[in-house]
Amino acid sequence: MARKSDAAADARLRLSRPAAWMLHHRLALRDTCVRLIAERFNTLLVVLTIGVALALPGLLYVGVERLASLTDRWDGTPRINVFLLGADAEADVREWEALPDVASVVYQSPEASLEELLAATGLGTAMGDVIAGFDGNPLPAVAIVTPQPEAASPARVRALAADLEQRPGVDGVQVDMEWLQRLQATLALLERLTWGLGSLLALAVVLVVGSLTRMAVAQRHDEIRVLKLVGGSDAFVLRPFLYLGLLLGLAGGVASLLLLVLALSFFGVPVAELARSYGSDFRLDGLPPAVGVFLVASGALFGWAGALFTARRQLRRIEP
Amino acid sequence: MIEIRGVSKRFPSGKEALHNLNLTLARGTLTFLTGHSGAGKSTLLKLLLRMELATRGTVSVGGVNLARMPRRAVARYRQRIGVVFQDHLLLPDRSVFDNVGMPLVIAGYRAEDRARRVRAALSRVGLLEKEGQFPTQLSAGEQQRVGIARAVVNRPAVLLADEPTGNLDPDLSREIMGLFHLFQQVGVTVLIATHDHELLESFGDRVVELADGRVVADSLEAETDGA
Repeated sequence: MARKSDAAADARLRLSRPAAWMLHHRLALRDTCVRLIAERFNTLLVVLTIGVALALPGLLYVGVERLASLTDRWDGTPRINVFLLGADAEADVREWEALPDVASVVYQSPEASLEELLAATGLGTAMGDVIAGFDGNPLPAVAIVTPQPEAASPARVRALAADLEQRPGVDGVQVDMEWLQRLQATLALLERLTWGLGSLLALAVVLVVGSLTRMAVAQRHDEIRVLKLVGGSDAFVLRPFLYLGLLLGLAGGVASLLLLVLALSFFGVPVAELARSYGSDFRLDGLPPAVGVFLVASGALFGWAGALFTARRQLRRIEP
Repeated sequence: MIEIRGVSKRFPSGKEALHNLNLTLARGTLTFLTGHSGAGKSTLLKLLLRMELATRGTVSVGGVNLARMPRRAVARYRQRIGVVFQDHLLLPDRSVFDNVGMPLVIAGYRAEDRARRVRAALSRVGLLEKEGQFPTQLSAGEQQRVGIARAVVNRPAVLLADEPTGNLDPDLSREIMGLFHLFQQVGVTVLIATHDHELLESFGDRVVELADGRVVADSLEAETDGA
C-alpha cells in the first residue's frame, strides 16, 4: 500500500509525456550544439562540403530557370522569313495569304529591313557607314509568313516553308522556330542534368552525414550502452544523432545559399553584359526566395535522413 | 519480487551458462550471488536486466514475465531497476551531477525535482561536495559511489550490482556494502554478484552460490533446513 502511494507521488513529480518529450528534445539539441561547437573545425568542413554539394545544382537550376523564362516570353507562334529576289514583290506575296496553312503575310521592303537592322544593333551611324560602302541597300525584301495555329506543328511549318521556297521570286526561307526548338531541347537536357546532378549530390550529402554519424555512434558506443542500461529508449539514444544530421544539413543548406548568392553576383554582371550585347535583357543575379528555402530545407532533410538511416542501424547493434 | 523458475540459458556458441535455475528473492532482501568466474552470475544479472532472454523457464520481476515484455517496454522497465557495475560505466564528459541525474532526465522528472533527488543521492553516498567534478577527477572508490548514487536516484524497486567492490580496498568495500544495506532497509531488493568471500563472511546476508549454471548452495535454504 505504502509502495503504491509512493508510486503515485512519484508519478506527480514526473512531467507529462509531451513535456518530457520536449525536455528530451531540448537536451538532445543542446548537447548536439555543444558537441558541434566543441569540434568547430570539423563541423565547418562538413558544412562547407554540404554547402558546395547543394550550391552546384542550385546554380545550374537558377541558370536554366532564367533561360527558360526567356523562351516562355516568346509567344510560341512560328514564323517563316521568306527572302525575295526582287524589291517589288509585295503583290506576289499577298497571294500567299490564300494558302490554307497561312494566317498572315507581312511584307518588309529592303528599306524597312535596313531600318530594323540599325535599330536592333544600336550601331546607328557606324553600321550606316558600312552599308553606305555597298552599292545600294544589300538587304533583300522579306515576307514574314505566319502559319495558321492548327498548322504550327514543326512538320507542317517545314512543309509550308519548302512549298514557299519553290515559288518564283523566292531566294530562300528561314524558319525561326528551329533555334528556339534547339534552345528548348538544350534547356530540357540541362534541366535533366540539374536534377540528375542534384540527386547525385543529395545522395553525397546523405552519405557524408551518414558516415559522420557512423563515426559519432562509434565514438559514443560506451555512452550509448550506459544510457540504454539506465532506461534510455531507442528514440532517446537516437535523438542526438538525428539533431546532428539535421543541424549539419541545415547549416550546409545555409552555406549553399550564401555560396549561390556569391556565385550569382560574381557571374551576374558579365552574363548580363554578354546578354545585352545580343540585345537581350537576360540577367543571372538575384536568387528566387523559393530556391533559397528549398536549398535550406533540402539540406536539413538530407542531413536528417543520412543520420536516421545510419544511426538507427548502428544503434540497434549496440545492446548494453 | 524476483522469481526465477526453471531457467536455462544457452548461448549461440552452445555454451550453457545457466541450467534449470530456481531462485526467489523477496522484496526488501539483500542477497549475495557468488561463484567462480563462468558460474553464471553475470548471465543471471543480464537476464534480470533483460539484456538477454532465457532459453527455457521464466524470469519474473514484480510479477512481470520478462520474456513477454515487448521491446519498447524494456527501457521503461530498466528505469525501475538500479544497476551498479565493477567498472562504474560513468560518462566521462559529464559532471557527477549530470551522471547521477541521467536516469531522472530519461524518466522525465522536473528540473527542480531532479536537482533535489540528485543531491539527496549524492549526500547519501557522501559526495555532495563533488557534484561539479568530472569522473576522471575522482578516485576509484568515489567513482563507484557515484555509480551507486546513479543506480538509486530513481528509487528503484530492485538494485543489481555486478562485482561492485571488485576494484576497491577492504575499507572502501565495507563502506559500499553499508550503502547497499541502507537501501535494503528502505525496501529495495538488492542482488549483488561477487566472489569476494571475505566480504560475504563479514555480513550475515543470504548467499546463493552458483557453479556451472546451477545453484549449489543457498544459505537461506540451509537455515530453513537447519530449523
